[in-house]
Amino acid sequence: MTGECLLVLENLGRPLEPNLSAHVAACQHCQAVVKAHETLARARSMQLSQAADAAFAQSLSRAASRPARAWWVEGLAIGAVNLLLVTAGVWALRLRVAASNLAPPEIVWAIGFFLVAAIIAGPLIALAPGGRLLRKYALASYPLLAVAVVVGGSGLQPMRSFMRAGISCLVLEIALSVLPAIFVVWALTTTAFRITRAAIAGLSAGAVGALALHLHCPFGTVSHLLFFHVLPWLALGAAAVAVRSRLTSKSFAP
Amino acid sequence: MLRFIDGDRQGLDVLYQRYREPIASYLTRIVGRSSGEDLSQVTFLSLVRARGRYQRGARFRPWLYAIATNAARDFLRRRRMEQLTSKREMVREEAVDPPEADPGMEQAVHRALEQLPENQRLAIVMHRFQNLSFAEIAQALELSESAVKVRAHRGYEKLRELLRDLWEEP
Repeated sequence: MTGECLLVLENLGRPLEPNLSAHVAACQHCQAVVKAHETLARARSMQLSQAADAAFAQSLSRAASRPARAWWVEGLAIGAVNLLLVTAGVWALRLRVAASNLAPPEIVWAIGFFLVAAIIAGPLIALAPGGRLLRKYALASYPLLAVAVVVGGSGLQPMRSFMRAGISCLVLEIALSVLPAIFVVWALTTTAFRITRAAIAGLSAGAVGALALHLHCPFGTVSHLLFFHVLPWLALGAAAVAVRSRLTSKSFAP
Repeated sequence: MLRFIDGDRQGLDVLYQRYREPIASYLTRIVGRSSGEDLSQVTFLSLVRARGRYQRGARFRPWLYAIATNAARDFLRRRRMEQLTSKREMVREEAVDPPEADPGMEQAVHRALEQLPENQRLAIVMHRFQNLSFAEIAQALELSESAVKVRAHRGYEKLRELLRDLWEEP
């Protein structure tokens, strides 16, 4: 497809300038495009029923009477709830077992900072209108963060068996992340289904449990972090996509 | 749209009167007659419910067509899922949406459009039948303008093949 082909495409339905007409005469692709465009013009316009739909007018009026809410209100509210849940989770865990991540503090806080950012920014990015490119970057940042969690571990071996120590982490992570996941996936029904939105939503909810474990769990081997901190987190992202795809949208706005 | 967002309910009436037919016609070409008008109602309900997502200063027409396109895609996705799970459903679905009032050319065009990949079909229907510019289509489909042009070009080329019998008529 050449630049002239594009010009022909842009000028379909209008008289073509001599140089474009000459191009069409020589270009088989453009001949096909012009012919198809002309053929479609012969299709008559759709005849739609003109019957006034009083019931629909009423539904529209009812929907319009409800106050409009800016999209970011829900995003911020979910971010705030996520932070509250992390705080409550870490506090409850500390009451039970006084333990914490034994990696160097600067690594613990740096990764913790990015997890907090993921928890707050995730719902906002997932719910924001437009922002397709931002969503792509945000989605790509979660696996990087997951790698940082694994690589930044303390290396400390679990004192209990691999599975016993791991299962308790897995259960804690899921327990802390379920509520944020429900909130954010439900909020996503106010917009059209997009895989990237749902994945970011699920990963931001999973980051709630991942942050609590990151601050609290003393075990830091790669296998423990990978199988019981990171994989359940990523699985939650996939589960959010699967669940959201089955929910009915309340609105199809972009 | 801004009048409506600012609380003027008449703004909604104006939008509905102005865009009801174009949107219903667009959706009818994408999903078929029996569901097109229902989906146009879904589109306007979505518009009202999601008015908090409309960004001031954004062009309204591409936003409305984006809602309609999303509603159509959701409908088609669910229909595909149903067809995958039940062959009986598929037979029923085909029977539900007959080409009743679309003889000749309209029916042939409808069939040809149905054979195009979704993105090419959407671009062509918006361009040819709804008179949207490529910039507006790009906004509605969340694609770059050049990507839309490539899809439209390929779609028209394919349509030429599919409609060859019609345009070769004397």
